[in-house]
Amino acid sequence: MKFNKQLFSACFLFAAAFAPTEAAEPVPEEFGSCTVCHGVQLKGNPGTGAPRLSGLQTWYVENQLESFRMGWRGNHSADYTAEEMRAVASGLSAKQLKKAPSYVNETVSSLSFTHTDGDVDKGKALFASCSACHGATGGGNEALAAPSLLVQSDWYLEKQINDFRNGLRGAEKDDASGQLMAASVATLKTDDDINNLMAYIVHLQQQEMK
Amino acid sequence: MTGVSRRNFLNLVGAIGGSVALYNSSRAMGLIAETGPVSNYQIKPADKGAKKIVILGGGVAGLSVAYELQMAGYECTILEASHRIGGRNLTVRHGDLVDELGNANICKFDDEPNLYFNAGPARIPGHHQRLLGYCKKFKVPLQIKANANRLAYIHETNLFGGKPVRAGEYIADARGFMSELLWKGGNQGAFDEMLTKEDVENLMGYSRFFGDLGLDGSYKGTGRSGSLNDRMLEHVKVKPTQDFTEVLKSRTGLMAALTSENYDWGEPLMEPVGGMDGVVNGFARNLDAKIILKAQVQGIHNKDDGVTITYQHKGKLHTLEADFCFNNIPAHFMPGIDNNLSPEYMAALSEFKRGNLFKIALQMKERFWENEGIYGGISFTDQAISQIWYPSHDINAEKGVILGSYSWNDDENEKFAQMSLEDRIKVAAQCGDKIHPNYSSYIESGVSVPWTRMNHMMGCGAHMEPEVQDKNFAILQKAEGRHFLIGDQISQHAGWQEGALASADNALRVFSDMRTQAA
Ligand SMILES: Cc1cc2nc3c(=O)[nH]c(=O)nc-3n(C[C@H](O)[C@H](O)[C@H](O)COP(=O)(O)OP(=O)(O)OC[C@H]3O[C@@H](n4cnc5c(N)ncnc54)[C@H](O)[C@@H]3O)c2cc1C
Ligand code: HEC
Ligand code: HEC
Repeated sequence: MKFNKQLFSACFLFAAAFAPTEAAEPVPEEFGSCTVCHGVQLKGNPGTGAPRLSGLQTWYVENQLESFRMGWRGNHSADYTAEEMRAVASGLSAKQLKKAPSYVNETVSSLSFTHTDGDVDKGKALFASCSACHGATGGGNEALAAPSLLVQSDWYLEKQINDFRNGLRGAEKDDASGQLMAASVATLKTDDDINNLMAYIVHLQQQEMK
Repeated sequence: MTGVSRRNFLNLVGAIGGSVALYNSSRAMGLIAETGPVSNYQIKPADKGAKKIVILGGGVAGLSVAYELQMAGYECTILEASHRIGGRNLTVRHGDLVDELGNANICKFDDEPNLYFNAGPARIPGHHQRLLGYCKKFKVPLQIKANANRLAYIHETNLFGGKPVRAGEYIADARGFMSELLWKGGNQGAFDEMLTKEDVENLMGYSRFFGDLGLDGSYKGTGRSGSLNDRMLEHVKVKPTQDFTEVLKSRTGLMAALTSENYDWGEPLMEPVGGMDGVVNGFARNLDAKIILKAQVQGIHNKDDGVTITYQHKGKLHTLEADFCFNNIPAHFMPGIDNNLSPEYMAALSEFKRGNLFKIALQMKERFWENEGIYGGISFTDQAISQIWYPSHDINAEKGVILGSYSWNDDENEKFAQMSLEDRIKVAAQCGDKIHPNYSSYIESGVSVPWTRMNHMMGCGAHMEPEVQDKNFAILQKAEGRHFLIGDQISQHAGWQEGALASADNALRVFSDMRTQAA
């Protein structure tokens, strides 16, 4: 994986404004291990491939933990990091499973960006097909099980889109939500499409932050 | 040198030129051998403005920094995220927690001191003088560890009839055939343009002994491979040779032939008696530093006059103010930790890739390999497990722990990582059966350590693409503000404790110079 410098400048600018002690809340003991991969306050870490989770909708977290546990996600040997998450999800206790969604949802962390060079207008056009499920501004729709796209790290969203395209996610028989999503990426033909789309999603994320 | 003793002279240079000068002139004077200890290095002592040191992570690099700074009068605190210090220097025994993310488990070996598993480092060559120097200082007893063993096996699924071949037999055949080619080349004038007549004669003579050739320069097998009969009572009956084409194809054979050629594997190797964590215990016995376990660092902030570290311990967030910080945390965690390091520095850090070594150890109810004449050393196979290591210690004991898999193939290691412990043992057993008859029937229990999945480690060894390494190391081997990065990751020798100690050594040198210049 390669990450460009912008990510780190974005992180840095934010961190510099941060008082050192503002790692806010201690992590509940039972979720200490989440931060090993997902970073402090689940801010995401490209170094471990674990995305930012802060603010992810509780119902979606629940769905995804289930999805990992069912082997719908993280079930392809070439996808090392998703396999690692599957092992973690499979090892969670009933109590952890119950508490994880609200813990994840309530963490607070900065969002940083790696995508700077796509064409936002072209991306906007492509996003039209996404908004039916993810909402016009990408806020998600619980009724359709489609999550907000405004909180995850952009490098991670890009990986997921490619995972859906390449049959690494949303390809299992019983994974209805995953399949729904997988069917929707057919509109994305080229790497340029993805790049432009990501530029637009980043734009939406930045709008949201304002 | 008259009037001034060597030691005094060094102190003098040290006072004038700073520690780098001391270090360099020590080398120039031959006080420190090329491969020797760097113990003459002198750290600028603590004073009012520089006293409190915080060390993030208690791997061997962090421990050695704490020890050296303590000797120079500093007060050190080590914050370690795990339930234990030592990092990758991990020896697993009966009842120990194997802290694999998503799959934590307890070692089920018998409660016996000889039944241990060095899940990380396991061997030390004689030129790792920093590490061996600490072993000496801390009275960590060492023993010889066999690495190459001519009676161990090489095994190739599609060569040599799929049967294991003794490493010594393979090596003798490989040398024999190569030597035959050289001899014949010489005999047929192939080197006449390159070499004098005398050289060619010597080359042919050399080849004959190197490969144990017949007088006619042909290789027809050798007693060096052993014998088909009882060679104590009868003349050696030479074993038939392997097929030369197959010999050339065998990569495991090549590995066996090279085990003692690699500079870091050169015989004799050593290991601490009773387990590699003897090194960690040696540090622990000699450290006054405050060591806080289960203290996960969450924030690192440089200030003009110090550093502020945020960490979580016992369910609470704490901050610690110190004058300087030495950071032993594996680099791939850093983007997940709050910090105000510069974008340039963080970009350099982000170039590290995680490595994914995997080891499995099996407790065997009998030391069956010793009945096959194997006492220590390594068998190589082209199967997923790649290697089997036999213990050099406690020979003839009832039971033993062998290393049942250790590969450098990322994909094979990842496959193991993705299995349950039971499946890992099963695969290791099946592979072992191809090499030793009834191997699996001896297995009593197994322990595995996939380093990519170990809590607070998530990898070994960190590496960068060679094209960007020099550029990034130039940034990372320097201090940024009052933050110093340490760990084998920023040495040219990741994957060796000596590299970790060298990184510490380097950081302390930079630290001391910085303080000398500031004064
Ligand atoms: C399979 C294998 C075989 C090896 N073989 C050999 C060998 O034969 N000989 C040899 O000399 N070397 C060998 N090595 C290499 C050796 O283990 C390493 O070079 C050495 O142990 C690295 O030490 P370190 O101090 O650089 O880092 P580490 O040991 O990685 O220490 C890092 C520390 O930081 C801690 N940490 C992580 N996150 C945080 C946080 N947020 N807050 C606080 N602390 C944190 C970790 O828990 C850990 O204790 C081997 C390694 C492996 C894995
Ligand atoms: C071993 C590293 C690791 C640990 C520990 C870990 N995760 Fe993950 N997690 C990941 C990775 C990697 C992904 C992304 C997988 C992918 O690329 O498909 C992920 C994805 C997720 C997702 C899906 C996010 C999304 O947007 O779909 C959730 C939810 C999640 N993790 C929750 C947790 C929780 C809760 C914990 C602690 C109990 C935890 N994780 C611990 C590595 C880890
Ligand atoms: C038919 C409804 C639908 C459409 C159209 C759709 N999605 Fe989705 N999307 C979903 C659902 C449902 C999920 C959750 C899948 C799951 O539970 O695993 C999802 C998940 C995702 C994820 C993973 C988020 C995460 O945190 O891991 C991304 C990224 C995503 N969609 C992007 C898009 C983009 C880009 C488009 C347009 C090209 C799009 N989606 C169109 C329904 C849809």
